[in-house]
Amino acid sequence: MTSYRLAAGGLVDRSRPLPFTFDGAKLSGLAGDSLASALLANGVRTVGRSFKYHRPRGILTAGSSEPNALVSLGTGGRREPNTRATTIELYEGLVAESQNRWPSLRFDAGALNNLLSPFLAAGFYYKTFMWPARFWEKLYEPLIRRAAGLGRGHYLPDPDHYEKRWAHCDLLVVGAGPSGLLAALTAARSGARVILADERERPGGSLLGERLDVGGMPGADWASRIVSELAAMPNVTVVLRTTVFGWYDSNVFGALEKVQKHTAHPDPNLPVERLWRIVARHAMLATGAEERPLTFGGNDRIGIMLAGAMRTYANRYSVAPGRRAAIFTSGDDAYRTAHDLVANGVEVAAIVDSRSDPAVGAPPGVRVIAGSVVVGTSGARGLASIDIVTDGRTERLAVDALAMSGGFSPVIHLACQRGARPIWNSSLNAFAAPPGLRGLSVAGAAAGVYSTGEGMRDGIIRAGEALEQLGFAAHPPSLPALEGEDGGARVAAALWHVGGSRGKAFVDFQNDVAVADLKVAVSEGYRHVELVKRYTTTGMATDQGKLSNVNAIGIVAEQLGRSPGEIGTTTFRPFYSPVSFGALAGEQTGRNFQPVRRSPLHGWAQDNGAVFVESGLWYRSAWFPRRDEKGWRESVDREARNVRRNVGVCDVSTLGKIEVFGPDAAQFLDRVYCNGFSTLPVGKARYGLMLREDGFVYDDGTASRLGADHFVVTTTTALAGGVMGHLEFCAQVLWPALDIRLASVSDQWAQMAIAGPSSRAVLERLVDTDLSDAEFPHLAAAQVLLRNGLEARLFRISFSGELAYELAVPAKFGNAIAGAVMEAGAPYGICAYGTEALGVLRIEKGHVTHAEINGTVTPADLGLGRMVSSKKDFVGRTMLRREGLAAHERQQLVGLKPAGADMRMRAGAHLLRLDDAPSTSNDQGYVTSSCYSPNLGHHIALALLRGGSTRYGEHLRVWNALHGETVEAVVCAPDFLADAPARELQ
Amino acid sequence: MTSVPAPSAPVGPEHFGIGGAPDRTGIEIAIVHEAAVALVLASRANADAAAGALAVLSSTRGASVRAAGPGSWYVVDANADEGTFLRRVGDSVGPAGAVVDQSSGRVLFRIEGEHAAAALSKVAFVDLFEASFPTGDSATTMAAGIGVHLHRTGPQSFELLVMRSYAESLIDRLKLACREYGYRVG
Repeated sequence: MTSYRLAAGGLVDRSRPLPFTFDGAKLSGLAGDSLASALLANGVRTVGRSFKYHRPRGILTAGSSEPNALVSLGTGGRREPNTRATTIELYEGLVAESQNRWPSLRFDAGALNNLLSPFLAAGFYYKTFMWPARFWEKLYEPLIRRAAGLGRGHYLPDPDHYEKRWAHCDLLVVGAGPSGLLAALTAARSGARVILADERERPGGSLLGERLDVGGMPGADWASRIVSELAAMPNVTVVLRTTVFGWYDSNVFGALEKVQKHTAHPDPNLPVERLWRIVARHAMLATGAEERPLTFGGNDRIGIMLAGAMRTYANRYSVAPGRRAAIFTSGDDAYRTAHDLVANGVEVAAIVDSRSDPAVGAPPGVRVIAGSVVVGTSGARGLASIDIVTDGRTERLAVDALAMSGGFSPVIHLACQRGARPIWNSSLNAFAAPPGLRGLSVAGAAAGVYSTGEGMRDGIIRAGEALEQLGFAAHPPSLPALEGEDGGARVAAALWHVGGSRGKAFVDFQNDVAVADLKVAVSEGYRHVELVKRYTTTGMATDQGKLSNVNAIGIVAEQLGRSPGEIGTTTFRPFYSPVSFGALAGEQTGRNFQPVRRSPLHGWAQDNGAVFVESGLWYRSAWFPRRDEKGWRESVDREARNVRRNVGVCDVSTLGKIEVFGPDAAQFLDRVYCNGFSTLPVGKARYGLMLREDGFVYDDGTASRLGADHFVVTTTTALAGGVMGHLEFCAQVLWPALDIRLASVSDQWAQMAIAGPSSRAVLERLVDTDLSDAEFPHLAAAQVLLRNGLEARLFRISFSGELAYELAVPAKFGNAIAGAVMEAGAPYGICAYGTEALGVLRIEKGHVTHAEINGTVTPADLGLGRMVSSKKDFVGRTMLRREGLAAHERQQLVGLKPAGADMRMRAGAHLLRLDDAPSTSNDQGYVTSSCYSPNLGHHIALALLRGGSTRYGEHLRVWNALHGETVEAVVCAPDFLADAPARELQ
Repeated sequence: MTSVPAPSAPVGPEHFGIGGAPDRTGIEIAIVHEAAVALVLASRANADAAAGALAVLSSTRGASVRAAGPGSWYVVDANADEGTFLRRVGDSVGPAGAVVDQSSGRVLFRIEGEHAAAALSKVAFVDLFEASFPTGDSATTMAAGIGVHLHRTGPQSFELLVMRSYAESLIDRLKLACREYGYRVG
């Protein structure tokens, strides 16, 4: 393979060769190379196959807009598809592979598509694969997707980690080119907090690709010197390898830092990528301008690249683009490429200028063919010649490299991501950011100020304006002297496409969209640029049309006889360039996907062999298997039976607990519960129902009065946070005049239910209080002293229907006290029981949970209509009076028992009349909770049944179509224990 | 059950020790089990009186008083006996505010070191620049998606109060955030 490395110069370190592989071939580059420059230096010019036609493609750019040179990087779990070879820093051991080709890059079977390309114009698929319609999803689309496409993903775990961080600053400068560096320096010296971000590994932006001296030194050195000064200042953060990809509400910017993408052996203590969320008081875009390709026949042939990129490869990477180059331009800037190529010893055969009288000087000896265009190219495995038309005459010129330049488009993506539309600037022949954006300004080439010197000045001026807004006195640096800039204007004549081209003239290289496709779209009536985009796919995929959009708009405008400004652009959205899912997920993977909450009794439960179940963020003990038990049901049956016969202890710490203080606390609770609390005496607890504003039940729990002005409210586990927020809203917004204060104490107290006939006896061994019915009756609530001296709270409340208490102790003592309860209960046959047995016990008793309080029920639906006070106002009262919420035929809570042989009734099953056909149109209601009742010896269920409270005794069909089950059941009151005399309990 | 039992630790023993970048301990994380923590709540009318009383408490008795919202403060004493501490806070505030024991409900994390702010910026979105969040300032905010009360105790030191049930998840995420600097959890 021939080397295209120039003999001297460039920002590469010739003493540090870096071996790497491309499609298995062992190659070597230099430190400072990009993968693209290293490939070019090795004479590897074919780097990929195009998306649709599988045309061989080469490197087109030297930056992040690259549409062609997409490669898969890395191996195994680190392999990443669709990375741009032009932005990848070369490192030792880099492994890259080309994409979208089979069996090889050189011989690609998919290239058959190219032969068929005359038939594959825009809309081909939509028109051709219309029938039979059902084939589209099953046959056509999978086949088309297989034939087209980019790199393939993989399913291996990623061995690396990613992280996110926040940062705050006065001024965020995006881009460390000449304008950005001076804007950052101005702000930093003025005392503002500055973050300077640049997507490449070296600062300098355009200076890195130019032969320009700044401040008496090469531009790259000057840029490094400025960055060193900035990095040493405590008020400045410089982040290289960092792409600011999005502008979001509240002036938050998203940025992706590639921390360790430039090494084969990442440090495990560092992330490979870091996602920054930067809160900036002001941001300055110094993102430069993107050079536009020219659209002419055969413009995708390998060896053709943007003029600025060719200059960068020569100046920065010391790589010759070929042996004999030509330049095709509609503006002045590409003449700099001619000068630089000549200076680097590359022969420049001609400059083809579409303008008839260019006013800029070519290098001595280089022929300028004015008023001419390139209409076609030829060459089997890369460019061999170009066809030039001048005044109707065609001339063929043998070259192996062609630089093209169709002018520049300011990079304004970020400025337009929050709804602002770009404005067509006819003097720039480009779209510019609209003026007057709040919190963001644009400087330098991104603002259409193209010369380096003027761009630097613009950076200082715009930074000064921003600083004034931010309240800083600006201390601008002096402008450095420039040497080597020719000052040529970069505004090119509009040349959206070359008429009379031979062969396909590509507008969007990545999606294989040619001029003809756009013309088809317009001729078929697509007038709006958004529709043209979707019909042709121009501007889609990983490059999002960075190079192609303006040319496409220009061509559509020309077809319609309008200005590009009237056509407008498609919508700019984040991300500016691709962001990995890994970076977006950050550390939130695996066990850190979401936080886990551990009960203060977790250790006790673990010691007692609990099986845990995830319940929201909590891990709750579900049951406590014993060695000889064969399945969960056996454990749960034993636990539930033991509670009814002896005593059990269950962790209920996860319930929400809220303390309400203040002279108006009782009145406050009167207003948030549908039942009254101001009549509740100190030392007593009461069950309460909270409604939503719309009259439906929101949550239930107890409120206990510990003092005249002090209550403790419990909520369900699921709505602990929700109820706290609701109460805060009521207190702060609805009734700010009430003197109350709220505190969540959910985590302060470990709480355990001690339930069963022997519960009192167990507690008497622990609590230094008279627990007789006379002294501590049903619904008593008090602060008590344990016999070991610990202060606790004791409530005589029951969720099981048994004699039961809830004991609350400070969370840090939870495990120890639960252990003490087990010890005290041992003589009484105590067992630990989990949420499953808790569920069985409450279903037996007909108590509701959020399986029943599901957002569709009123208090009356649950049989709790009598709780609703008519003497006071409360949240939900007015809406509860709506006709529909009081209708008799509403679904109401009932119990269900199997009518014949015992069979399971699953939650979710539908209820049907016996005579009705099994269909949801005959639906009478549904099962909400079900279980096997070990105490009754058969299955039971709670259900919501239309008019249920009047249908006790009726036989229904419980129909579960999902499991193919039908059970005949009899409707009963939800409290199964009330129905069952004590002797019936097994 | 004759004496007050030993309290349980809020996180398992496996979390303690050194980790992250070798040969460096850029950050020290301490999980202060025995800190006495009270939440003081005052109504709008009494907020100034309560604030005044707490200012006196902090200047004369060494308790650290941290704003936690309008009419709301955490009072922290890492070395006090809980019962005595609560009575002291209650006596100071008097009828101006309600005192809620959170000694069990909140776990105190102390994070110190040159890179403490940088590590915290990976989990919390508060601006930790010293001029924006000086020593003595507090914020009720989120860390790694977990509600926390954040307090700056020095240029390079912070304290977090987190609900006990979340302590283990928070230490997991803090260790990840500190890994590049090297850390010790004690």
